Formats: sequence, structure tokens, C-alpha cells
Amino acid sequence: MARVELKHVSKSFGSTKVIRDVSMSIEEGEFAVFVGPSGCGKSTLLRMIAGLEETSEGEIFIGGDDVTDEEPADRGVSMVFQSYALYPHMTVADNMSFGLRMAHRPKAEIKDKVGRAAKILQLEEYLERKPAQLSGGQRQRVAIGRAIVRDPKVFLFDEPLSNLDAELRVQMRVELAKLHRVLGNTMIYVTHDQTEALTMADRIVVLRSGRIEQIGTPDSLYQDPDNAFVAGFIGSPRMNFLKATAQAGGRLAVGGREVDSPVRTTLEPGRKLQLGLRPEHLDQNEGIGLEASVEFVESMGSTSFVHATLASGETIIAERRSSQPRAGDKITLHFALASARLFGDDGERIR
Amino acid sequence: MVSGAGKRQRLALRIAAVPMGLLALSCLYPIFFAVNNAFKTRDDYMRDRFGLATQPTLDNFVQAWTRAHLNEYFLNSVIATLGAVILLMVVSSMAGFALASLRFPYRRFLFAVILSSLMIPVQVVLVPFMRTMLALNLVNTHIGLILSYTAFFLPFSVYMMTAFYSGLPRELIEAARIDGAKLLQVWWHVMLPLGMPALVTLAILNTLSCWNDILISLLVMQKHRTLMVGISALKGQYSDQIPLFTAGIVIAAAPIVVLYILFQRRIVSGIAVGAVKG
Amino acid sequence: MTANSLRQMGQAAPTRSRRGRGRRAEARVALLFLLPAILLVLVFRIFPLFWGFAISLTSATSTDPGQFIGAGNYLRALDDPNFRSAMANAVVVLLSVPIFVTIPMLLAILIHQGVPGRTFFRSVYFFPAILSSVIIGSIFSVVLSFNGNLNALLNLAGIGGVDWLGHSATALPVTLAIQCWSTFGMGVLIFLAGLSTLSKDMVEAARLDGAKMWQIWWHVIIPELRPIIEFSTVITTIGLLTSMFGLIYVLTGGGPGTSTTVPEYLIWAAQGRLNRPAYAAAISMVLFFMTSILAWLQIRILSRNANI
Repeated sequence: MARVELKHVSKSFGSTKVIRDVSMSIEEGEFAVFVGPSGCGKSTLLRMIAGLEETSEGEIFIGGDDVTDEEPADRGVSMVFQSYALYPHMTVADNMSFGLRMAHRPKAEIKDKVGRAAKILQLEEYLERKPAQLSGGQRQRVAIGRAIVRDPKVFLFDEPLSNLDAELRVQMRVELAKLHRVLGNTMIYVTHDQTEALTMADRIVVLRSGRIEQIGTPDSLYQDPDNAFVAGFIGSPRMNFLKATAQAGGRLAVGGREVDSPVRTTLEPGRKLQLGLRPEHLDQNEGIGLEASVEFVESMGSTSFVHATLASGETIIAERRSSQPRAGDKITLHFALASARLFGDDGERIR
Repeated sequence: MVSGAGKRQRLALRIAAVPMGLLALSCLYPIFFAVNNAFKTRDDYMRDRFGLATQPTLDNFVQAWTRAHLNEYFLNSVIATLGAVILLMVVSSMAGFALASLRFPYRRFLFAVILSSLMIPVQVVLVPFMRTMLALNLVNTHIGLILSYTAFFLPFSVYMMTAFYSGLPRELIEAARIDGAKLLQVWWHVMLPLGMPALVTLAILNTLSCWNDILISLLVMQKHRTLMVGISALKGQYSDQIPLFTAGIVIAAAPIVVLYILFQRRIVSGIAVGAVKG
Repeated sequence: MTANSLRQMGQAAPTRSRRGRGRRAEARVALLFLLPAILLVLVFRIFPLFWGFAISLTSATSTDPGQFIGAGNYLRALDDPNFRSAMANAVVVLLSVPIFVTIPMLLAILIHQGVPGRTFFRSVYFFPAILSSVIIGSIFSVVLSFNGNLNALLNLAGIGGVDWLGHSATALPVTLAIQCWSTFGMGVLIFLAGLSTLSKDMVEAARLDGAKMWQIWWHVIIPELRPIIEFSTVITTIGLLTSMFGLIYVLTGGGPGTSTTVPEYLIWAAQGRLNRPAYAAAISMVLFFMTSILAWLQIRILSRNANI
């Protein structure tokens, strides 16, 4: 169990910079999730921590040691790959014991550690099978087992659930969270699925184009995003962004009407802004109202999402738990001012 | 098969099958000739060239094996072939691993160097090759022949192994390195076992090449002759004892024929893959 | 930029003096893995190539290193009846390439069309290809000898026997025929592989257009096979120039006279029997030149076909 620190880490492939000046620290025993759109560099960053990619600039520390130039094997990390990368010609037991065997550990120690990992992951009856004879979920557990057995300082997960079907994914999410509670190791987890991030993480690192957009607990990212990108990325369905213009006297013109500004900062009249409203916050019965005309309704069973057009012509999505309007209906969407988030034209959050 | 062959075409094909069948028989006849006559006594052969042996005897085989020294030659061929095939497997698997999965400078250049030597068969370097062998004291040594075979059959094997290893997911090697394996351990515990299908095919093809070779063994080994060199000498010595000669031919061809019968599919697919990619 | 909940770390990154240590270690091991292969190829083939060129410019014999004579060996070759014979024979060999390519192609077509017995034919045709040229040469030297089986067969039919291998007019054609016999199975394989990749749709479209079977073959399928025909031609030519040694050695020894001496065999004879290694090296260079042109052609063809 160790602390991971990145200091001004950058990486370039030739002339393209893919990781730009990233600095962060992940605490001992923390479950950190790197999340972001495709190509944001989250996998690259993970592989740099693992030592599979070279760091062009900056330093990486694991447990206080500078590992920037160290081989992957000497960093004390374990990795679970998206494709599991199990050795197809070895049994489950040999797969899990491979690292220990390469280090020439005594047989008794190997047997003990493999046995314990197999118990935690319920793999005991599969120990003599080969990967080809296992299901996707079982293979993934073997990959995790292989990582556990070496008792690393840091666990690294590279989109491990992406290859599983939806139902299994939900199941494994819970398993992994439980695993973290049982083992307590520092874990760094990469995913493109923000639901996974929100449910599993102690802290989330949101990345875009090689830069950190925000680091924080799931709750703080959800409630208190630093910018429009994070606000739009976290939470599903996506936050609505309405065009707003600052008016005199702490008011905003938005959605075809005027409202009070949700922030205390004085805003220059005429300044262009974006007002963020989450669909789930538009389900109120009272509060500020926006007139909208319903385009169509997505019914999800327990709830529905109403796609509507405002007087200003913008599209808005609102969640509706109780009533279900129909296409063509004219409705009023109510929200509490406190649930609105204000962003500048450049995306920066205004508090 | 092109669909919907008409009646006339089917007839044409049936007619074509006759000369094709004769051709096929001609492909089998020479071996039949050799095997058949190997069992005949001398008189038997004189009397009836074509028919089956009336008094089949194993004497020719015994004579060929002992008096004509085929036992020695056979052993020499086995040593050279076995040694070269094993060396080829090791060297081509290591080279293929490096070229396909590792990062180092001049990678493409070195791959081109190995492949370009395909352009240099023995005939093109016959004289300097002999002088090199002399200079290295490798003439008339088993090691010398093994190294020569390896050098001259290497490019194809390296090409195949590089192509094969390129098809393996890179994460497999990454996982092994994270697991703490040194590169040599990765090669021994992961690349070698996983490469077995391709290595076995190469082993069979290289066995054919080494066993059947004549020119390299002529140049390197005059003292401990290989089987093919021995057979070519047999022809001069026993040209009037055909059954003995054919017995020798059968002994020399038998291992290869057995190999073909057992591994025909592998041999054919291995050559096809090589030809298509080349 | 953003107000992160992280701790701002110290100075900017230091210089990259220790950077790439892992990469360099990997490169070292990789080159070590590659060393045996490179060494073997360098010592036994590439270095000798250059050394051979150097030798070809001298008057060396097996005992005397000789002096530098520049293009002397090459000029002598032009006047040497052995060499002229060998080159003339090489021309004959090259002229026979179309036969070496067409026969397997026709057989592959027939097999592809579904001639009865095709699975049997496929494996049997390939069989001679695995036999050593020494084995094949030995067997045929007996069968084709003047007292051999073929003549006996012809005698039964009332035709007189011919000294197939002892007559300078027949020796080379017969040798080429045997070479064809031993290698055509490989060609059938290659053409069959090519035929299996042909698109059925195109053939069916042609049939709907009213084309008869042979017309489809001539105008549609064979043109589609062109890459393989080209490939096979080059492979066959290189093979004929560099893999007939064993057969000639056992079958005719280059004779009678020089009727079956080809450049490949002349090199061996010049080095051994004639004891003129420098001259042999020169002919080696000539052979290398010929096969290099062919290889260059092959690469051109391959890259042209790959862009289709």
C-alpha cells in the first residue's frame, strides 16, 4: 500500500504532446479513477505509472521512491489489462503464480499466496483449468488474482470491465468495490464510463486532451464542478447548458425569461454566460419556471426524459418521474435556483 | 469449385481425369520402382524388370546399410539435421521475438539484412564460403555442417517467427514484464511455448531441407558424409547392382516419406503461407 | 488554471539525464537475442558475398592466392566454351519457364473445376516436391539409362530405345522434364491457393452475361490470376537457376560434354574439377547478378500487385 505522486509529468509521441504537465497525488489505500473521453490520455497516464510508457518530462513517485526510470517489474505495481492478457498456455494457478515463480520464491509461499487469492476471488475450483475453458467474468477474476498475488504497492486497472456484457459489468463493479474494502491497497482505475467512476471512486481525476480538468470526490465533482466540461461529463444524462446574458442588478436573461443570478459574484451586464441545469433538477413542481414545448419523450420505465424546446429555441432535457407529457404538449419546467450552475463563455465556473 | 458445371463440362472433366490420373501414377511410380526393386535379388531384377519380386529379400537393405556404409551416412545426416533443426528453432524464435515485440534501434534494417540474405544461395558464395569454413576450422566437422545449415535456412524461419509473434497481443508481454519476468524469462516461459505451432511447422520444413541437402554437405563434409552425398557416390560404385542401389535410395528417402505421410497438411500449409506472404 | 484540491508540487522537471534507462536495457537484450541470427548470416553469406567478389578479381587457385587481374576472369569467361555453353543452356532453361508455369496452372484449374479424383491428385502431385534431388536423380538415372525401364517399355511397344541421358540433344530437355516433374506440385498448390480467393460473383455475372465456360476462363479468370502467374514465373525462374544442382550432379554430371552444364553447375565444376576458384567466383557473381535482377523484378511485381 503506497502513495503515488506525479510531478509535472508530460509525454510526447514525437512532436505530439499527449500528456501535458500533470501533477497529482493519490493517497495510500485510495481508490482513484481516471476518467475522460476517448483520447484524453487516461490509459497513457496509467501506463506511464506502470512503466510501460516512457515519461518525457516530470517524475513519478511510488511510496516515496522516484520510479520514473524504473522498469515495470521494479515499481511494485500490478496491472489488470482490458483484455486480461492471461497466458493461454498456462493453467489458472500457473497464471497467478507466474510473477512469484519468476522471482524464484519458495514453493510453499507460492502455494499459500495463490490459495488465498483464489479464495478471495472464488477461483478455487478453476485452478487447474486453462483460460480458454473459462468465461469472460472468470478470466477477469484470474487477471485480478494474478495482480493480487504479488501484493503490489499499487493496483492498476485499465478499463477491466469494458469487455463484459452490461449485466456482468454491474456485478463486477460491486465485486471490485468490495475487493478494495477487503484488500485496502491503493488502486488506480481507468474507465471511460462515468457511472463506474461515480460509483467506485474515492476520488475521480477527470482528464481531457492530456490535462487534468478536475480532481475530487464523486460528490464534489457532481455538485461543484470547476468547469463546464466536468459538469457535462459527470452525470447522465448530460447537464443542460443554456445560453444566458448577464443583466443589470444581478439578473440573467436565460431561456426566454429573466431570473436572479445564482451566484454572489457581480457580473458585468451584457456578459455572455452558460447556465447549467441537470435534467434531474428540472423535475420540481415549483420554483423558477421555463416554458417549453415537448418534442419527444423517452420512457425508461421508472422515469422518463422529456426532450423539449424552450422559447429561446434551445433544446432542453428534463427528467420526469411522475407525470408523462406527450409530444406537442406545452409544459413548464421548474427548478430551484440553488441547483443551477453558472459558467462563463470559456467554460470556467463562476461561483 | 465454379458452380453449375454443365453436362458437357462434366464429361470434359471426366475425360481430363484420365491423363491426370496417369500423371499422378507417374508421380508415385519412381518410389514404387525403388521400393519394388529393393526387394529383388540380382537375378530377379535381370529376369523381370517390371514385375514384383518373386523371391523378396532383405539382403539388399542389409548390404546397403553395412557394406555401402549407409549406416554411417545415415547417422551423420541425423546428427546434422537434428542439430540444425534445433539450432534453427532457438535462433529464429529469439530473433523473431526481438524483431516482432521489442524496441531497439535499426530494427527494420537488421530485419532487412536477414531477409536479404535469401538472395545469397550457396552457389553465389561457393568459393568464399569454403574458404571461410577452412579458416574457421569447421571443414569436416559436424558443428560446421550444423552452423552452415542454420545460416542458409535461417531467413525463412526468422520471417515466419517474426510474422507469428507480431500476431500475439502486446499486452501478454507487458503483463509478463510487470509480473517481474526478465526478457529471457519472457522468451523461455511465454514466447517459446506460444510459438510452438509455428516452430513445429518450421521444424518439419527445415528437416526436409537439411535431410535433402546435397551441395552444402558436399562442400563441408567429405569425411563424414551425409546420406545424400553417400547416395550420389553409391551410383558410381554400384551402378551394376541396381537392387542394392535402390535399397540405398529407399533407406535415404524413407524418413522423409514417413514425415510427409504424417505431416502432409502442416507441410503444405507451411509452404503455402510462406509463398503467399513472400 | 483550475483550483484543484491537490498540492502544488515543487520546481519544474529536471534534465532528462537518466531518461530512457529502461529503453536502453531493452535494446541491449533485444540485440543480444538477434545476435546469433545476424552473426550466422553475416559470416556465412554476406561477408562471403563481398569476399567472393574480391576473389573474382584475382587469379587465385587452391594453393596460390594469385594476383589482382581486374576483370580478367570475366573476360576469359566470354571466350570460354564451357561458359558459353552454360549460358546457352541457361537460355534454354529460361525459355522453358512458360511450360513450368502453365502446366501447374492448367492442372490447378482442372482441380478447381472439380475433376474427379481431385483430392487424390492434390496430395500425390505434391509428393515429388519433398524428395531430395539426389533421390529423384538416382531413380531416374536408372529408369532412363539405355538399359533402363523406359527404353524397355518402348521396346515392348515396338519403338526403339534412346539413350536419354547420354545424348547431348536429349540430355538437357530430359533433365528439365524431370525438374518439372518434381516441382509442378508446388505450382499447383500456389495456383489453387490463388483460385480459392477468386470472387464467385464475378464468374456468375459472366455466366449471366452469356459467356461459355472456356470464355469465362480465358477472359475473366486467367486475367485475375495474373499476379500469381507473375509471381510463379519469377519464383520458377529463380528456382531453375539455383536449385537444379543436385539433379544435374547425380543425373548427368554436367554432361555429356557440356550439354547439361548450367551456370550453377559450372561454378561447382570450375572450383573443383577445373581448379579455378577465382573463375568460379566470377561466375558466381554473374549468377548473382542474374538472380538479383529477377528478385528486383519480383519486388516490383509484388508491390504493384499489393497496390491493386
